[in-house]
Amino acid sequence: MKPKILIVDDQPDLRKLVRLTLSPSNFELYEASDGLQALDQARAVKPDLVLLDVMMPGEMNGYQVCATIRQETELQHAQIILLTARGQQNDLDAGFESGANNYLVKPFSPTQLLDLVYRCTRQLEARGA
Amino acid sequence: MTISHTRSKLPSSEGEGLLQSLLIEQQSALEAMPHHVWISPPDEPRIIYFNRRWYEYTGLGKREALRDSGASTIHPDDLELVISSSATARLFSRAYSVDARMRGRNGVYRWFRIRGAPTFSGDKVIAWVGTNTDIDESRKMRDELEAAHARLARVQAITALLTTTLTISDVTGVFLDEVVPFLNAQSGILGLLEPDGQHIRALEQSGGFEAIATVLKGFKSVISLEEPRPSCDCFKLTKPILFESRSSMKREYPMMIEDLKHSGIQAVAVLPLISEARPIGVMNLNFDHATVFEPERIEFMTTIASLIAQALDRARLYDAQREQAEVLERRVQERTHELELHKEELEAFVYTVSHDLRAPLHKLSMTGGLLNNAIAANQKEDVNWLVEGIETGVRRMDQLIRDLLHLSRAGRTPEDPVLINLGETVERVLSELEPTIQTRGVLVQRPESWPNVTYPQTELYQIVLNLLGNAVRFSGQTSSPEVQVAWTLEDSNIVLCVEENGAGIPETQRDKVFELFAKLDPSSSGTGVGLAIVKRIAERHGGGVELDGSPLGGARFRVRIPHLN
Repeated sequence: MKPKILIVDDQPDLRKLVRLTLSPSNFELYEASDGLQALDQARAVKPDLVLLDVMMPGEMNGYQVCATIRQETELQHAQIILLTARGQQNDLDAGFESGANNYLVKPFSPTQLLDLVYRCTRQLEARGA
Repeated sequence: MTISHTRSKLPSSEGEGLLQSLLIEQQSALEAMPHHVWISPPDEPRIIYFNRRWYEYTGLGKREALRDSGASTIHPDDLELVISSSATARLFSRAYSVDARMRGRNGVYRWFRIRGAPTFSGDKVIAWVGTNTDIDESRKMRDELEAAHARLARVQAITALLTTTLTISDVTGVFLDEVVPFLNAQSGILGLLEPDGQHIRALEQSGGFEAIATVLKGFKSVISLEEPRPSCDCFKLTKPILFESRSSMKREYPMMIEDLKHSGIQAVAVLPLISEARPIGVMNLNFDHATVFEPERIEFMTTIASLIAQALDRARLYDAQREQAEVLERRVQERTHELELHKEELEAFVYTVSHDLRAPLHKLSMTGGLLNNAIAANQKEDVNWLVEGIETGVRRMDQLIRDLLHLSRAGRTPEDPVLINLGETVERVLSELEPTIQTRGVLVQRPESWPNVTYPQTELYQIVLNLLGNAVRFSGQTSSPEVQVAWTLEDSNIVLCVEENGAGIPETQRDKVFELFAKLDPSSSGTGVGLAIVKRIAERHGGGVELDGSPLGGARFRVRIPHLN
């Protein structure tokens, strides 16, 4: 089965860039443009991996989405990678506290993103096997 | 002395006979005594005999004296004490002694010590014999001594107060609360030489000030040393000038009399304030009664004046230093506050800048990587999109950096304010925005005449460009776009008003839009720096910017432009 990846970012350009990075590989891609939409999508498709932008306008930022996903038993197996422009230690601490598995600090390259995504999905396969 | 106010009835007791015989026996001895001697019967408080000395002193006749037992000679204030002392002594048959004033033949009272003692025959009192001894000299000396002690204590207290005073108002406080009443004066003023050396200024705190100002015609808080006034002459001659009554003042300062007319002031004393052998001012005392200035009193006032002078000298130094310290402290606080603001601002700035500069950088980083793949895979559409992305990313980066530079310089340019017509600046901006206005079909309304303002030219341009740029961009999202520019005069400030008919800004967001990188619409092409620039420039030049809702439906910005010199 193809790993399901949910891309969450408020900027369409950035979603498209991530999609272009991941689409050549064997993934099933989903998108959401804000926190609430992200939760709806996550409950609906039960993604294996969530690429979650931290700074989002609206009711929920990335940390809050992450923490909510972690509380739901149905979604517990999902790996979460935070995408953040804030690379300070306290920002990262906040990320791990909210339950993220990994993070990528912007700016990053497509290769860096792809590497991390592969690592996470391989872990999934290993666990699933 | 035993006395009674009632007229004595004729004695008829047995004791009386005994007493009469005793009197006859002793008379020559009693008459020779250097003191007053009197004799009273054992059973009633009346006097039946005074010796010659007594008659000599009082000048009374025998009938007169015996009628009220000499009570009329006792000072009314002392009479009760004398009567009660004698009555108590009689009750216990015990000797007594009391001091009282007695009127002499010349009408002058002198102090006497009145002693009375029972004379016994066996255990029976047969008479009361008394003496009055003149103690006037010693009594007066004692009174004077006591008064001198009291005065000394008061002087010590005042001296102590004056040496501990720190500020000028402390000194004037002691002067008014202690010195003026102590000298029996009704009001007083301390005057100090002005730094110009030509005038004397009354210390405002030295009270009775208003009272004096209202009653004393021609009262001035500053007087020239050239004026013919007691204070000026006292200062120039450095010696006391004293008027014990108005008539004495009239001789030397006839023009002062008119001023004093309704003041109630009868006597005046002006003493020089001398500190370290140099006159620094005058002490003025006003009396509502004619006053005799005895040498001791003058000496005392002079002493007080010199203490006040030293205290004032010290206080002046202290006040000056304190003022200086306060000014310094205030300045330090202001600077610290400014620095803190700058530091906070800088921290917030660096944080947001690092984040927001990274956003386009991130896009470029992603785009660059993907471009290779897209080219390799010959995906033309993606290649075009990505190349376009690089171009906009670079443009955006450039715009951001330019805006940030503007922001960092906002309100801090060395540019001098110049007199410019606000309308000209508005027109220049509008012509720059013309392409957008055309494309969007924006209707721009503005008044025909504009005021001149004094403002740094490029900064005014920045304000107008940012406000109009936003207005043109955000106007008319649903209906046909409309922008209105106008100005008003408010409290001698010119207020530039820019409004449009766009979606408007919710009240909760209105403060936020002035923050750096704050964008209501993340997809908008703005950098989120413009309004921060406007706010900073306006505030740096003593104005400000406000945001509310426009009657047109959108946002209304109002910038206050003070007149700068």
